[in-house]
Amino acid sequence: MDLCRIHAQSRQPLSCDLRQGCGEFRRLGRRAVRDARDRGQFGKGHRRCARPSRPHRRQARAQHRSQRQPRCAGHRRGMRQGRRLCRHPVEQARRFAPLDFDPNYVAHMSFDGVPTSKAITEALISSMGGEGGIVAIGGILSNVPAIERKLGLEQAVEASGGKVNILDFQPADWNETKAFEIMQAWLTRFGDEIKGVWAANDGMAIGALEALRQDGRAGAVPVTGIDGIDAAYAAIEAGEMAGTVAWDPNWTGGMGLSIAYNTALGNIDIASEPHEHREFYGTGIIVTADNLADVRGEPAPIDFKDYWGKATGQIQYRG
Amino acid sequence: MARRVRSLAPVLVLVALCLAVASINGNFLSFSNLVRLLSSAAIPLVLVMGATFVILMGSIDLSVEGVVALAAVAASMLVANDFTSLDLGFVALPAAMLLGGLIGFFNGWLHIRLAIPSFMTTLGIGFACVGIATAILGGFTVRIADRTFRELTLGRLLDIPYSVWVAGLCVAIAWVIQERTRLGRWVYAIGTDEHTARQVGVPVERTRILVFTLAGLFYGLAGAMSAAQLGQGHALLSQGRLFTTVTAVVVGGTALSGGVGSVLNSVVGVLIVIVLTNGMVLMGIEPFVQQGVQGLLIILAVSLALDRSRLAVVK
Repeated sequence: MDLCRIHAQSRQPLSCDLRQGCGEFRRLGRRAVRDARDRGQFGKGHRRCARPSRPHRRQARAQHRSQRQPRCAGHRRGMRQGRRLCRHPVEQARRFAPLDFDPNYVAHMSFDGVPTSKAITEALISSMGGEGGIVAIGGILSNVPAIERKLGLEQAVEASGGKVNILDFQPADWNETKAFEIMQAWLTRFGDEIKGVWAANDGMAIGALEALRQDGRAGAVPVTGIDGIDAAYAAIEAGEMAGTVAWDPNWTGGMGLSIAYNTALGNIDIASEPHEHREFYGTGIIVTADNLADVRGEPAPIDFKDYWGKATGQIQYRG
Repeated sequence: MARRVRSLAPVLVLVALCLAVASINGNFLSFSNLVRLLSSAAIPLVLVMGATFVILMGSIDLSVEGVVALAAVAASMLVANDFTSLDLGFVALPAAMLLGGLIGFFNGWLHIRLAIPSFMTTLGIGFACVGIATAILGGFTVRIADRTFRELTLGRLLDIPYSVWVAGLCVAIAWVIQERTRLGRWVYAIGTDEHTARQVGVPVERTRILVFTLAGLFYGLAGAMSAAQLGQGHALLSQGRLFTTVTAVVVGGTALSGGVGSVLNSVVGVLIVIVLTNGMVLMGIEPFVQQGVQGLLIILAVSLALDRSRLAVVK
């Protein structure tokens, strides 16, 4: 709901009487909901029914009961419980994105953690010689990137057909000091069983690497991270990390600007573009010692008119 | 007798915890794991040496993370690094301490001169320090190229990292301050009853400022050690340190109300917290329940360690 608009329509935008202001705000808000429904902006998923006003209520209720096919099952339940509005999903509710409501909304880009994490895990496994135990450090358990990256790790380990196993998985909450301490405990618990270290981001990978270094094992056990920070590149160069993922920063930043700019200029009619052009994934680059020089070197020229050439599908909402 | 047992309670908790972990994973008591535990404990130990005095005085210092971050960034910028062209080596250590001491002095000065509760003063200063560290670096990370500086945590004497020796030295200094100096006596006096202390001529204001400065010195040193441990300096380097510090002090048996406790209690407190984090991974406790277990054990430890029978008011 466009709160600013509601606010602007209010007779007393800066009402000093809070109660009056709230009532006003609620009325306008309700009107905006009704308008949106009339415009069909809630889609098929939701149907909102306002409770009839007081004088007609009894009559309306009788009429409602007598209706063979109630407007929605939830409406009746809502009436019985005396709610003002019922908003039960009639069909399975679709997840709404800003593009459902606002033609001026341009686009959102993100990166799919699952295939990327799977690819970097495969790189880790191959640097381990294809078999052995992995210890894995995750991000904050309920973060979507953490969930996706863990999923990719598990897929890659499963694809190894039992040759690789996860010795332990611990979340270090994206915190390198925590990763350091967890890695120390693992060195005691598993010792030489650890053939590879997987971390959900580079910061934690560096934390684990420093714990290995204190043990004199930096470089002997391959470590991978995700994100492509400078310290990770330096560690790959020194042979202490096996790889990381770069999120194609030049393309991400440049294309984000280009799409917005060209929409503003009228070169793109964004409202008529399909959903996979308004919410899309970019492609992560797996960085290992083999292509480190290319990734760090002068970036290749990008065609900023090829807006969705490198996009890889519509964003999925997980978690 | 009961008081004697109670004063030993943190030690008993620590011993019980060690035995519990060792019974599940025998590697726990191996020399290499004990060294790892000590090296994990080194930085929290240094932090706690400062925080204990503040808490003994009945105040609290929440600027830990800010001061550590700023000192770590300063230290990493003074040794050979990829951000500045300086290469001052171990000068970074006293410099970081000096910076920490200055911030601590400022903490105490604001707290006394403006009569702001230490909770708010230090919280604000802590945030400001993280903000300054972020602003200096613009979100970047300084990487340390100075191998000798990193020897602070990587190098070993008698198979024990130098950082542990440094932490041990800090404990010794703090113990001497607590037991053998007037400052130490005054801290207890203020923590027990500030009015009485003032009446008998304890310079309350001066002591408070001095204690916050002392705490800042320790935080600054811990900041330099953090930078050496991870080989880098950035504004979020110290995340989580505040929680560990305050928990360790309280679990060790130092009362937040002031006047009761000791730096040696805090040493035990740090070891309990470190053994707990290390032991949970060693015992293979599900990550989903680790935090809950940690919380319960902290409550258990505090309920055993604190003598609450003489507390008139619990708030």
